[in-house]
Amino acid sequence: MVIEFGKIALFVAVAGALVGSVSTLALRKGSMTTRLRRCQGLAWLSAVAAAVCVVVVVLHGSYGVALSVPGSQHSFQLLSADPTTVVLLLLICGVGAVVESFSLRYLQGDERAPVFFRWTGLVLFAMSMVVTASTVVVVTVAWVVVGWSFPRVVGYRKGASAIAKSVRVLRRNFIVGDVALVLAVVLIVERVGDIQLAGGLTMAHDSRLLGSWSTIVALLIVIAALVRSAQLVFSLWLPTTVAAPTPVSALLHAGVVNGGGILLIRFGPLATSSEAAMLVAFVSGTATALAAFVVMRSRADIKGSLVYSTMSQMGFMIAECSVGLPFAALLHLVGHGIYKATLFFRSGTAVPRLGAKTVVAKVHAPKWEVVVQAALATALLSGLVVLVVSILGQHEPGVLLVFVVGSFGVATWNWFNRRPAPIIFTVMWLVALGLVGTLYALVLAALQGWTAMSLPGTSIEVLGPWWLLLLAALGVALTAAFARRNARRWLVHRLGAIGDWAVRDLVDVPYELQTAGDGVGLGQSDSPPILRGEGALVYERGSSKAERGSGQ
Amino acid sequence: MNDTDRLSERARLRVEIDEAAKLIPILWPLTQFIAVNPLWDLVDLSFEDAVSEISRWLPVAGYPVGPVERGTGAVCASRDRRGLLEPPLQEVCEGLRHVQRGLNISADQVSRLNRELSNWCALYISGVMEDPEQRGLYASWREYVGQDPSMKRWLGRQGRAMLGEGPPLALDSLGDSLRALDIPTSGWEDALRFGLTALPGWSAYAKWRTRWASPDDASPKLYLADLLAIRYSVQAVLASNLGTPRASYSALQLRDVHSSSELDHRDLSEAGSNATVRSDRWSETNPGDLLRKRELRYQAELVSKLSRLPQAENAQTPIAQVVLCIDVRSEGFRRHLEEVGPFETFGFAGFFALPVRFRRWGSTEPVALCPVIVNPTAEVEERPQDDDLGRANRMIAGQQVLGSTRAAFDGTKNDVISSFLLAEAGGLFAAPMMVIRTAFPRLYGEVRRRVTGLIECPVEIPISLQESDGAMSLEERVLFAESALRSMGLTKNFAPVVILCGHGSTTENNPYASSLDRGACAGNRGGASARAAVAIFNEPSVRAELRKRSIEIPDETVFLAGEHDTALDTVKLYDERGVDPALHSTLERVRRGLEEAGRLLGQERARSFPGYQRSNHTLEARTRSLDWAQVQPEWGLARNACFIVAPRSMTKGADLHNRSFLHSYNPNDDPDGGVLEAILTGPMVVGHWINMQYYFSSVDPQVYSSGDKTLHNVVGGVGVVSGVGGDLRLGLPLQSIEDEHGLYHEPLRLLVVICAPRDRIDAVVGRNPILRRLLDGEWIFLLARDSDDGLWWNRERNGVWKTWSSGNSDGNGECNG
Repeated sequence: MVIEFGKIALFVAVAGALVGSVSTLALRKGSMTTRLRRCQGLAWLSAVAAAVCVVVVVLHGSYGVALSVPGSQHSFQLLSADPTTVVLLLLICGVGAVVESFSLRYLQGDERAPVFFRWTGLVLFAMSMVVTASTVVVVTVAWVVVGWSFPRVVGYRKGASAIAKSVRVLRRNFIVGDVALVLAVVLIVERVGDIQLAGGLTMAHDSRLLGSWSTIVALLIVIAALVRSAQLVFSLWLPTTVAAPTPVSALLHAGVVNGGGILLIRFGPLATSSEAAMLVAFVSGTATALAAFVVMRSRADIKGSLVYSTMSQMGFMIAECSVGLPFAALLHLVGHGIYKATLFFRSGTAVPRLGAKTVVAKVHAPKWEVVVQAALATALLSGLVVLVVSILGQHEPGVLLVFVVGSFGVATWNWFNRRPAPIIFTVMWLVALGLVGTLYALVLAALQGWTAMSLPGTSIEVLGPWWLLLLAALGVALTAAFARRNARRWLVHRLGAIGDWAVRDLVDVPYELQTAGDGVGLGQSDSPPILRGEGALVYERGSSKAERGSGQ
Repeated sequence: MNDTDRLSERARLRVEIDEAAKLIPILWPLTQFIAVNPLWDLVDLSFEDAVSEISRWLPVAGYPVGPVERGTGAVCASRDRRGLLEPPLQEVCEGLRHVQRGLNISADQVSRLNRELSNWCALYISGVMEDPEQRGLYASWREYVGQDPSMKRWLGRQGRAMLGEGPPLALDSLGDSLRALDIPTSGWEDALRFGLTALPGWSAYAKWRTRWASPDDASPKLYLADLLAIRYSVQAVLASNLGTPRASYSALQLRDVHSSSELDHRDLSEAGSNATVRSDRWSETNPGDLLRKRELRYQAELVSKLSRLPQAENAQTPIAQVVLCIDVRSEGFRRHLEEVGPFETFGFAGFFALPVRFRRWGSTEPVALCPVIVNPTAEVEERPQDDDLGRANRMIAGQQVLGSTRAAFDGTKNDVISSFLLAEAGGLFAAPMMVIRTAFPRLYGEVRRRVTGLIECPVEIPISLQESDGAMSLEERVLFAESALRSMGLTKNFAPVVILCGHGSTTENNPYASSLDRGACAGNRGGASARAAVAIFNEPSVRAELRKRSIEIPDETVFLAGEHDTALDTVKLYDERGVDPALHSTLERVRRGLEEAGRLLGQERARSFPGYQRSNHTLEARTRSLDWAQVQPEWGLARNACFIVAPRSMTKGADLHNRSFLHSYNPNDDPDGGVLEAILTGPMVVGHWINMQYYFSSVDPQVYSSGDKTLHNVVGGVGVVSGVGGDLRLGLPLQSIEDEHGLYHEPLRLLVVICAPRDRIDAVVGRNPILRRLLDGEWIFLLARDSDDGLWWNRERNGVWKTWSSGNSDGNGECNG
């Protein structure tokens, strides 16, 4: 009985946003605002339904929705709800609901807003399918639909040339990834047939059947993931999306760009069993994580810095997938998505108000004292996290502890460097931080235990988790480099230039000059430049030679 | 080049840069956004001439073309198609194009240079281009560009090296580059104009930094000279690279251009003859005439409304006198306040004529509380009473905790190792926050208020006028009190409670928040001014002195400070603790009256909100102001149209639709016109600035509006660009002047209505050249009414007064009365 309810909820969750967006077209009753309100309401409904699915899976374990082929006994597993899947579904539906609700007010007065809602509904539907579909083929079809419809979300307004250019770049890049994935799946179907996506080691068997093709298939899947998550060579489409309105960016960074990680997690051994593919993924993930971080620090505008921050985070996620830590990658993509969407939504608060700077009666302690205090606090907090995790019976790969220690270290160092004078505040702050850490550890442990069986494992551990230490070490080196002025400037110049190059065509310098001859219509950027010779001739005719010279 | 030559060249360049900078407006940083007249430095010219002058350099039409009535098809049908340049203006940007041709550079190169220059400015402003010794943009750029890979690609290795080898001073480098480009000295000014108007946004910010901000202001040192020096040094390298004959720049050509449509800026008498020449450019329906027609139509409506007012019956003695700001949003509040109870309202400039700097308890930044055209002379600060000192310090500590937490968060975000876990953990905690904030903005606002309240423990701290170095002396305080009361016309019959109300606006996630607060007063909330003024009025020593000057404030009368929140329509009263218990019941009645007036005003305003759906108006206003997704929380000063300087009796009871600045003025108490002069040269000029800002943002959004808010990208915390990058945007966002039906604001020039004898007005105008210029140039229009005979007089351009009655066309086109 509960399972039946769960199936309905799953169906609603996946299809809700799409129904909503279709309804803005189909049911023409009411003003546009009313229709958009209805669309947004259906998105909230699908988010609630996703939450219901989570509850059902917690209570009853995994289930699925199958379609029976009429007239035969075959039934074809369409959607599956297991812990991994419903967590991702909750992310997608939740983000979708918030984006649509936000846009309802934010895109007020925009006569093209209904177009945005329509395409967003399709993107959400397709992403939900990517996340819940049971077989490789269905996932791929949904993936291609996302790649086809998301550029339309970006370009929902007509006429702005910067956005049109962004859409072109998007399409060019997405095609590469989509073709790679389609090719991979064609190979799979040809060799093995349609593979059920399932947890544990069951998929490992199927992937072994691919034989010598498994490396190529794995590489193609990795390429598709790298394109969608804006890594390395395929990364320059992401900065161009800043030309579009804020809700588009929120949807992108929370729901679409983490598609790469989702693909690698769900396809499991099909991608992770190949050493070459995992090496490629690790190298590109690490390189992007570090390089994009540098570019982020070289950005002057807030949205630009958010874009490169996402690129860096996606690199980290891909690196985690490639070293055999799918759960860590899952947690990261969910957490980061919400974090980035929130930052985009509130990018209007980047303006401080005058008179708000408070008197600083802070303690400036000598460096060694700060280091000692920070080290002690870090040890305490990290120990607390480890304790909580182990009490709940989970084991964290040691390398992640390095990141925990690093994060607490930086946070406490910043605090102790300039802290308010009364000791009581420091104590309370540390307690609060400890609470935060404990909560995080609780969520981590609980989720890990719950999703353990549903994450595709691999019997061949290609790159071990300790490879991530390389990323950590390089990160520390980068921090050290940034502390020195010359290194910082060199890095900012070289990598910042890439960032500028990526958006060179999209910068909207409003007063592009019209060429000589036409009298009207400024701002046409595709006008031919004045031929140098021509310009000189015009003047030579009119000027007197006596005017030439140094002009003193 | 020897030193004396250098010095004289620098002086010359400074003068010419100032001259060239007249074409661009001033752009205050977003922290203190102010509405300005974008053509303020051209106000010596008439409106028409100024518009045509500026249209030689910027794609500005200056007049609305097409129907602007609400709902009848907007000026601009959709935000993507700004069709304002439909009528072909043959000479649009002719100056720009002539200089471009003279410098022999292609449009592509100019675009590229603009792009690079915007990028450098943005990098400098946000601190990526480091300047630890505070030497300015040019000096940092010289070092920075030497290693810039994109410059190497564009200019070549030697070219890039040349950039870094110029003279260390910006002005010297500018002079060298102009000479290297073979521009004759007579053509320098036009070249500078080109340099500035090619990127008006950054130039406008540089103009603020160079001319208005104090030299030791903490903000980045982006000066006009630096901007021009960089542009022209790159251009000089480009020219030498390309090897083209640079000396094709001919001043002779340009002089031809000048004489054909130029006008001697100082000689206004020629303005008339040149005006006819210029009007040939327009098509049949002269946009200037259409504009005037609309203005006259508004004028006729206003006059008939004010003429038809019933005689004021003897009002009951008011239980409170409420002094509100002259802001147009106060007009509706005053109207409703007078409806709901025995209140008497006055209008006075929101800074209450108190030129002070204010330092909040615990803040390091004193904030100027007066308009930017007034220089603050004294400082006022918050100081807790002795028994409150503990709680006050606790509040500072709480603020420090929040500040340190934010700093720790930023530090963690900016370090690569910690950024990953921060994103993860941050997201998990942000999830419920994001959902609640979007779905239930009021609940989120309430929870946040409580949590920050727990940490901060806010405490109200009274203002102290004594004890600090820059405080006002007793004499100054008495002078201020007397002039304020006389200006308002409140010198006798004081009510038991007198409320001085500043205003502010509560909005969320809004880079333009300070523009909604008080455009007049450097974008700050008005509560502090009111509190400072009230502290002075309540002082026994001040009251004793005032008694000597025949202003008797009864001992029972108490002055209270308040703040009118224009987004929520509430009035918050400050420092109520010290009020005599005998007045508590009166105060309760006053509070209820204020609430009721706010509620009625909310109902009225709610009808104009875009996307308005709720039936409960108070709830709607409250939700809108707390909603982080709301791009149009309130309309601000949109639809402003007139500035009325008169006693309330002339306007009481009239529904002016929140379109009028109202300044109280008692003509009988001002024989020498001093008060009138103060009003006209101060608040009225501010009103004119606001009016012109809204006007130009509506009429020329391509240049003078910052565009769609949803595309805004904050740069360095001081300005916005649209989308990916580029020039800083000037002016108001489209959401402040438009909604889905089209233009909401009606672009009209300010109509100033004065209740005073004409000879007094003439004397004041005669004494003040700025008023003369504004009036003669048709930047503002003047209507006078002598309270004795009730006749209306219209002041013409040449100073002649003509009676005005509805149906009177004045030869300026028809008027539909």
